[in-house]
Amino acid sequence: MDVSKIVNVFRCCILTWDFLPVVLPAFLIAGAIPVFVASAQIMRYLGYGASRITSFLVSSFSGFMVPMCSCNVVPVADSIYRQGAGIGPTFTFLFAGPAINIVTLVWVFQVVGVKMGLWRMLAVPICAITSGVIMQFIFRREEAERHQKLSAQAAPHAQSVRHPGAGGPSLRHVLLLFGMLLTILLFGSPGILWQVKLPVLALVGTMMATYIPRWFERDDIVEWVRQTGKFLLRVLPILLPVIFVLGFVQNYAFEHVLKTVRPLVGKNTMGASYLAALFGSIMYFPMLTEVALTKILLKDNLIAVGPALAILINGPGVSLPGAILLARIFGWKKTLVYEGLEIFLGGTIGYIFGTLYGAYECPCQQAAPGTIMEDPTSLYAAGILLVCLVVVWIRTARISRAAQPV
Amino acid sequence: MDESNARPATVTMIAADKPCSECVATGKLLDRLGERLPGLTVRVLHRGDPEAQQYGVIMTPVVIVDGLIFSMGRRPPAKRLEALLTERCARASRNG
Repeated sequence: MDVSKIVNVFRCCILTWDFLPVVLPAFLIAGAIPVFVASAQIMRYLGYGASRITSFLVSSFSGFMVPMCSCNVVPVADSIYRQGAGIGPTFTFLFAGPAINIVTLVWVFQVVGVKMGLWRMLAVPICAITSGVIMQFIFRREEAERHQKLSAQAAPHAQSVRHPGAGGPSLRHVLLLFGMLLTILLFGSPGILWQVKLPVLALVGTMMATYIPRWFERDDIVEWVRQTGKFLLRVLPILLPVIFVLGFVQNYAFEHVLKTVRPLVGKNTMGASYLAALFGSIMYFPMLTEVALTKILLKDNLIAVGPALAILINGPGVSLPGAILLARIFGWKKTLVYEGLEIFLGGTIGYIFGTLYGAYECPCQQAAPGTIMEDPTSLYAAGILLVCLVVVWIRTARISRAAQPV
Repeated sequence: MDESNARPATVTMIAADKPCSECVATGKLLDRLGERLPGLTVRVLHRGDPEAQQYGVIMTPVVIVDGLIFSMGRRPPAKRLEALLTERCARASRNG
């Protein structure tokens, strides 16, 4: 059994050195968020008193603030619902939380491609907010009653105020840390020429090594590394075997898979997209495995682009076991409506994307740019990032002078 | 807050219903602090408790001092927490 042959399909995107400077910073960012970002503030924007628009927007992007996977999103959604979040924002959170995770996003960009990555990044909040708004409308009478009950209570909304003595690094340093990690992430991507990549990575790496011990206390740094490690340990021991199994099936059972899968989702039709959305919704995908599966199906031409996007949109959210848990908390009616919306919206957007996109071309099969002028992406990325960093530096200089903690 | 000076020093932890490794480690840290600081009371609530609802719990464990959130979703920074609680206990024993 030739291992290298088995995992050959992932050589271009996962099992390559190019992979590290992109994915490692993403895990580090995911590990830094619970340590340095005060997620307690989130209830202020989601809860009872928040405006409708704010709560929908915040809940669709809260996956960034609170790294979620499909396993822990249901208890958290339950928490925010009980603390006063509307039914709409709660289900928007449920949809978007696991799917807007920074590690998953980066993986899709790196492994599947930039266009799919961008579409997924836009499609998830759109589907999530739409689902939430429709749920809020359908269950409006029940929501009105709940709202009345909450306002009648003595202390209906959460008072999650941060203790002034909690200490911690300044906002400026936290932003700079995330800025540096993002820089490494963006400049580490395979599309950037090495003449630009190496100096930038070396520079930012040196800056991090110099400044991080100065800006952050040992307790926090240790906790950051621990949280990153926890993430890795949660993901890798399942992901690596899954990659191996996928490669194994591709090598030794390809004909069988071809006969079953391609007729179902090989062409970009509405039926295929909805079927793929249903599959993504029901199937339990441990983190990132849906990306590996979609990649291998796309590369081997077993699935069209539309259904593939549908799997990427619906894969990360609650699966069938998760739906049962959801029904126990929110009731079967809401769960079924939500699942129906998820499948319909995911499939529809997948289909639309598929018709616009065409056939899949693996990024590894596209020719690498020769000079920096042929592919000025490096320059654009550098320019945008530099401007952002300078702006952050200037605007937070005032904050750091006042020496306010986060 | 004058009220907090009169009350005995308390640290509260909100844990998940099925304690995760973080909750367990935080619990052990708080127990150690409780032994080291004689005036300190350590309380443990669970996410489902009505009192816990008012704190806006998103991710456990949550550590609360003086009714305000010290840390959420991570093991609390031990040195800072100990410094704060030592100061709290000292203040409580001065006023008590």
